Amino acid sequence: MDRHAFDRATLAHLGAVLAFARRLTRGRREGWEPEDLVQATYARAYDRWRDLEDPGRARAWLFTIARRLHIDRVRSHRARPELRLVRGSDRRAPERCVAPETVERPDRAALEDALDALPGSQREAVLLRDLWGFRYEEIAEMTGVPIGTVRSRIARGRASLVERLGADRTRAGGAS
Amino acid sequence: MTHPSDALLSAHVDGEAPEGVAAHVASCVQCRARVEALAGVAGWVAETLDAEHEVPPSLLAAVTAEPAAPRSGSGWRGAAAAAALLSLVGALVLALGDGARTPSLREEVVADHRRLGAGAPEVFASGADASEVLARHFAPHLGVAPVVGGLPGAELVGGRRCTFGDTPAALLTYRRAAETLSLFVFDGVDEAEGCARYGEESVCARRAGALTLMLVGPEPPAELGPLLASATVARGAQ
Repeated sequence: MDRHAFDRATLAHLGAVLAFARRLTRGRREGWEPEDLVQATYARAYDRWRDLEDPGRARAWLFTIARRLHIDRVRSHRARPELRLVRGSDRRAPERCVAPETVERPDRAALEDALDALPGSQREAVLLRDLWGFRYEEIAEMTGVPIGTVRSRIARGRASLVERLGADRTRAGGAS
Repeated sequence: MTHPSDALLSAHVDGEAPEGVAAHVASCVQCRARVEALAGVAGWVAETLDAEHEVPPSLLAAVTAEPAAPRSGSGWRGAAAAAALLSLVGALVLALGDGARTPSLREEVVADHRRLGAGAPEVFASGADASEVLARHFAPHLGVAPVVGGLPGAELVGGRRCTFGDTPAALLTYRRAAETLSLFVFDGVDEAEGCARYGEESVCARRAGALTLMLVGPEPPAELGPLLASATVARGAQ
């Protein structure tokens, strides 16, 4: 097995897989640290490297593996899988009013709250599309549902965000 | 006219809608507005949240370990524990080496105001009627209620919920002429009213019911104090 080829195709996505793992595991009680999940994902990916026909799809493949591993873990704990929002791990807790070096966008907390209010399947679809940029086909493969369901989940999730946050706030610099 | 569903308009945002939707959107003001709103939240998610997180060196080492090495054990944990120990030692050294007193709350808010500096929150909502802006955009998200309204002659340009240690707080940012003013709102702190000068900034404190307001800006205390005193406070907070 070509270790270098595997690293070349997968390590560029490590930061994204870690971000995804943190959202999957946050707030859950399975004793599954995000770093554990990432490590298990890469171990599984390495074992099944030959299954990946197109290295260009490595990112979606890694996300799929991470999601399935997490679902298996959650099921073993007899709980439903759900994509959770990251609280604390990427938003320092307790969060200072002004971060030492950078100032966080003032509306981030509002967006996190609005996403948190969405049903898990809609939140997952919206984030996979809008945060990580996956195509509908990839999300459908990842989540095991038809493309029409993906389309519907994304639309309902976005519509809820518009309703909750106000359409005028969704435009950059939107003055009231 | 039959309009496309939200699902189709949303798919149009992603370039995944069937033929015909684009033509309809181009000729329908109502649908175009809906597409803009849906695209707005999509863009907001992309711009605001982090799609990638910084990878700790210990995790990188763990996932790049040769298969012969333990891959499912505690590779990243061991390195992380060592890093944590180093941090602890570093913090201890700093704590021992820094015999200075703990800064007061006023000094802390001044320091935060200075760090904010030119990097004040982006303008994402503004208006002459600060109370309306607060009610529409900030109040549901500030977590400190009731919230504080406007400062005379200043325009509210940003705000966020945050904490000072364990104390819940809200930070409202105002523009007044070319200057930036920071108004910190605390719930449940015991800070005496009055003003003080710290270098080039002044800080003034005022109680409003259970809330404590602390305003920081470059104005001298004689000017900043009356400004804070004249701030409108939402009903129920006074």
